[in-house]
Amino acid sequence: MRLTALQTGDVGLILDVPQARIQDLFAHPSPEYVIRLVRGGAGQGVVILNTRHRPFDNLKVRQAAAYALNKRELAEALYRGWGHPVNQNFAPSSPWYLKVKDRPMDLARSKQLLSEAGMPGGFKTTATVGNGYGLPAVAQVYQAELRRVGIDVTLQVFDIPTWAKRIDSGDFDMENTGFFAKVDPDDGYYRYLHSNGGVWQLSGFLSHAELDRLLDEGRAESDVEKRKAIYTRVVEIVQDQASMVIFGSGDTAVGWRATVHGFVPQTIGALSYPGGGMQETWLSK
Amino acid sequence: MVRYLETRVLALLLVLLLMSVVVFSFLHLTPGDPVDAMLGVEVEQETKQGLRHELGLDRPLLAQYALWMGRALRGDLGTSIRSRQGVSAIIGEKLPITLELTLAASVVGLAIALPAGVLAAVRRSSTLDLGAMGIALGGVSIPSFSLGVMLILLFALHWRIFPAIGYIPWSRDPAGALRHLVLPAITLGLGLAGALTRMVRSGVLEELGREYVRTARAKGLRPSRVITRHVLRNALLPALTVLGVQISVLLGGAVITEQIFAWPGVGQLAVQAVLSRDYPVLQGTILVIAAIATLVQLAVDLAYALMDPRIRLA
Repeated sequence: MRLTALQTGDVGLILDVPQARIQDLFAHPSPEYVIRLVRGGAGQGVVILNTRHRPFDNLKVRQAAAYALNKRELAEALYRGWGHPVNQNFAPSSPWYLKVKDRPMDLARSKQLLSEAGMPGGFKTTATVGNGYGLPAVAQVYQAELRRVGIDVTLQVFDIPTWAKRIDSGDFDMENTGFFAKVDPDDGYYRYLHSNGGVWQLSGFLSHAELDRLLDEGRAESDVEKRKAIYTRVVEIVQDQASMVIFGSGDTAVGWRATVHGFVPQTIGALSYPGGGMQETWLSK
Repeated sequence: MVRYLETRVLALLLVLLLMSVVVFSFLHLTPGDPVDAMLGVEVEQETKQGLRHELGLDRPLLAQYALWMGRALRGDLGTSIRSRQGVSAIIGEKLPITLELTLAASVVGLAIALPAGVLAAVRRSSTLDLGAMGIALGGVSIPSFSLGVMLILLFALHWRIFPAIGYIPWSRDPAGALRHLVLPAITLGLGLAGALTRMVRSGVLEELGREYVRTARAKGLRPSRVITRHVLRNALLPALTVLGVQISVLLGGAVITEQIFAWPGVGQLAVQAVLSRDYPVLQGTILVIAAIATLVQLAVDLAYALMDPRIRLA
């Protein structure tokens, strides 16, 4: 509906052009409006395993689940062809995308880890899924992927407010969600991963002393290279602990009428930001 | 008659009051609130609590209800939590669109039910009767979500006669408005037609066996005149009651039909309000629909009393 409004001229500018339509819009450009791709603008997709619930309190079980996931499939499902596999809370286009080797999908390793955890035949668990934002599609993909190693996931789909209430209270075994795109790594990691973080439940309540220390250090450090070293280690720990399995980063697109001038889209989708955005935008009609 | 009217209006107010209590309670018993719907999971609890405080959602339920009811009694249904628009204005914009659909569905229902019911009764046990009853059974049995999708597949996608979805105001394009109205009106009206056809048929059959009909025929009146002038007037009384109930059903059924055909009425508004836990919009919508349903029932009762003097005397 928003895209139609842009095409008919009812509105001048829209954010988040539907991803399913982006390809077609680029293939058939119009002189009446501009569509601009924003790399990484759709944020990151993540599967969360609750370390307070069995059997995900066992590191080997979490790692087994992580090895069974095909990140490309999950990213495709969430971002409808505009997703890229990642292992951190930043898109490859971000200066804070750090060089940390991603965990490959390895079903043999996954089964081996399940055996080591005392569950050679796998186990049954439940995923709490929000009915919106493309989340059920992602859940169906990881449900099928995890079944290959014997992890039998039952999807419990709730409307968004009910789902949000359950996630906030930590009432879930596993779940999946999408994170907004971020600018700074402190914003990208602290609130999720520090045990004092505001949305700590979104790391599955991962309690890790080194992680807490690193996140405190990163917050206090101003030297870019030192911060990069700190957050590289953060990404390594997050990947190894596998309670917050970041699987993909998505692109988005912004559209504006030809009569709108001066607007430069920002990665995190802000309409107004220092040095750009709506305050620099003007209409020629 | 005035006393009768007073009693009914009093009952109507009581129903609305009870309805508001029930709706308010159920809404607040469901898990999640408007803040969860708006902010999702990636926002700190402090921020959520701040917004809940700003919206008054952290007050005791009784205080919230009293505040809402106090405003509602003054004609103020509050402000939408999501869009920050006045609820009365939102409903005022959407209600005529739903009433248009309901009215069109009633016309479809009556246009099918009256001739089909009468013909089925007059030609009892004939192929015509079987056909009419078959359609009636189909009308009440096929769910609107299934019928709507089938109609879209046939008339919009296959034959491309009518548009699949959307709404155009009559003031902008009358022909386009009519084309957009046809499929939703049939979807909603066929259920009504099914229920009414059976009522009309049984009513006409009952009246046809009465002595006054034999007298009318003996006096040499044409069969069509006997039906239209004498039989229908009496046979339609029970059908009128069903029509009143069915209009309330139509208003409820519009929720599904509006979703299927992207019809931007109060049904769609209610669904969006449920999903976003927009309490004021949902409370206002249900209250207005309940008021209309109760008023229609009252109108039917009054019409019944006018058509049958024995009811007034009773």
